[in-house]
Amino acid sequence: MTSPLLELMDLTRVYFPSTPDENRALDGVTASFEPGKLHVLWGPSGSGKTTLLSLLGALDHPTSGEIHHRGRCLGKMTEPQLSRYRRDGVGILFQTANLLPGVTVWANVSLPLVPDGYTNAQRRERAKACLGSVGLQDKLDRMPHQLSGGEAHRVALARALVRNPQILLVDEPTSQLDAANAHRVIEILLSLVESGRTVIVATHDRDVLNLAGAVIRLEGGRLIPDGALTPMEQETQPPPPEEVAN
Amino acid sequence: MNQPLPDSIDAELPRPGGWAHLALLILAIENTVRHPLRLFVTLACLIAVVTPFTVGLAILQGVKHEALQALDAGPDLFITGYEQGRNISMPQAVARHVRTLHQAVRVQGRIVGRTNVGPHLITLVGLDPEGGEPVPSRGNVWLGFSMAQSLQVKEGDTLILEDMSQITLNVDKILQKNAGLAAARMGIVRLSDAQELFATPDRLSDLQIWVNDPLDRQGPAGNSEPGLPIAFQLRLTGIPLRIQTRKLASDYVNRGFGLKGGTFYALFLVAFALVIPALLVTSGFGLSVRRKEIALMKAIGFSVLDILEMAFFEVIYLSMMASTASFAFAWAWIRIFEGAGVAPFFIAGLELGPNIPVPAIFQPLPLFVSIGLSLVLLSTGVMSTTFQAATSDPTEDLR
Repeated sequence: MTSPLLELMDLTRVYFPSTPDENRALDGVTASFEPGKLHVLWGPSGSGKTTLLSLLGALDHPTSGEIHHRGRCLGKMTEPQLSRYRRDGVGILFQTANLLPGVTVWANVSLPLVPDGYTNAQRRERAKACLGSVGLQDKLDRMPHQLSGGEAHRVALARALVRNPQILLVDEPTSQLDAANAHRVIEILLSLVESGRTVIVATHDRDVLNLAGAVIRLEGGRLIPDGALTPMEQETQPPPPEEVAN
Repeated sequence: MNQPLPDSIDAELPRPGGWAHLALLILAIENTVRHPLRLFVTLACLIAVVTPFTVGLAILQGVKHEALQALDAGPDLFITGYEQGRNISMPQAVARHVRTLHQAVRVQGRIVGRTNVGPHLITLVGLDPEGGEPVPSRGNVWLGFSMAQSLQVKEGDTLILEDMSQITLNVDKILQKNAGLAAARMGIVRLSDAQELFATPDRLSDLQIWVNDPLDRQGPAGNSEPGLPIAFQLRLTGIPLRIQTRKLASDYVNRGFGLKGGTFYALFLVAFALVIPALLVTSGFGLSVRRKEIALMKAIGFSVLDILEMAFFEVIYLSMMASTASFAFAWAWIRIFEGAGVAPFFIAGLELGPNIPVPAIFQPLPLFVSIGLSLVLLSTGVMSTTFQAATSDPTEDLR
């Protein structure tokens, strides 16, 4: 058995603690992610999927518990080390494209290369390659407002790939896309898994779930144990093909 | 079957070019240009604050320079009568006595007073023809350009002056517009006419004395005091006189301008204090968008230092733009609009629209101050908000 790439240990995230608005978005989640798989975080809205993705991407701090990346605890990393982790360890595809307006597509895609001081020529070359991988090599010099929603999302995916990360964190990749664009994005994600990368997707799209190599099911911020059905699943859905937790 | 990824995506990243600072600088410039409205509002705010300050500072420097230059070319001793701690007139005999002293090269007796011409209060200088300066002939007056405009008179007109007595003078000459700040706002008459007007026969309001300098004085005005021997001899006459050396006058000028400058700075300090919250608002104009962009940069691997460096470059870039524009506006304000609105603060008796060339020096102090001010004001507005955004978790702003 391969050693886990990411491990979650009793992870809890509480928003607005000790106030009337206290929200336990994650509550004692323990799980692990093996390399080279498509992991699906599955659960209804408000189950804690996006919160978990944010914590995995070091975009947020857990209230308690630990996240280990290749054995190193993110909570013990310094700010520069965390920046390095975000830069080289993971690529993140947000639910919305989050492209900088007024900047060309290639400049948006190559934005993560700026702090390392790549030249414009190097950045453009790399952006071209990444845009090619999402089928948008001809949009290199377009502006974000000239793109369709699906194209903007694929540009954001290219940006997530630009530093060649081994882990890709993807939040609801198909929720705002039409069927054709959604299919295209799923294909790209599978290609990434086939090339040895670890892709962690938060979704409630059953098409994505059916392709998962591993599933972490969440509801109300808690992990649903293997084999158990959530009340919602019992009512509406058949169980997913494979469930891996803990 | 999934389409395999192109090899290029798996290719190792090229070695970084090592131009991180340059790349951040370019990104900073792009950031400012990407939000034209924010750029415009921030620059407009900065220019509105920095320009009047630069104008004031340039005029202050110019007037001070002109005053010191006049002192440099002026007399070594200034003498007035003195009684109970205030200046009064003195007998004209003092001038006659000084002329007998061998150290005195030139002695200029004057009467300087203010009198009314209709509703206008004018400064009148009566010059003793024995002082060596060109003086109008009896019954004539030379008027400064600005004064003639205020009185709406031209050469050949008649002026009726009324004080202790009434005299009628012919406007013989109107001095040129560029004759200097002091000359622009006064009337010059013969000493005897002034003595008649103010009913002070055989008296002077002050005496200016140039002395023979055996040490061949070098350096700026006020560094040496060659008039001291004459001052000593005047003390021996027993007449109560107030004797001021060039050095003392120079000290007064510097102190006076320091005081005026200080008041001006203090007023502006209040203005700055009021502007800083306004700048915080304008630089935070679209703050949520900016916070989101910073959060995105952080999420994709920018460190806090990278973001602060980028913001610093933004501040430098914007400051340079603002100070250049402010400097250009200040130049136009002084050279084209003659410092209207600001000049009267530094030059007593000047109207809001001076209509005469106002002395001004633009460098180095006003230049550096306008750059420095822009930097400080923008840093206050930009760096704090950027630091806040850069040090908070990106999730908060990316929601």
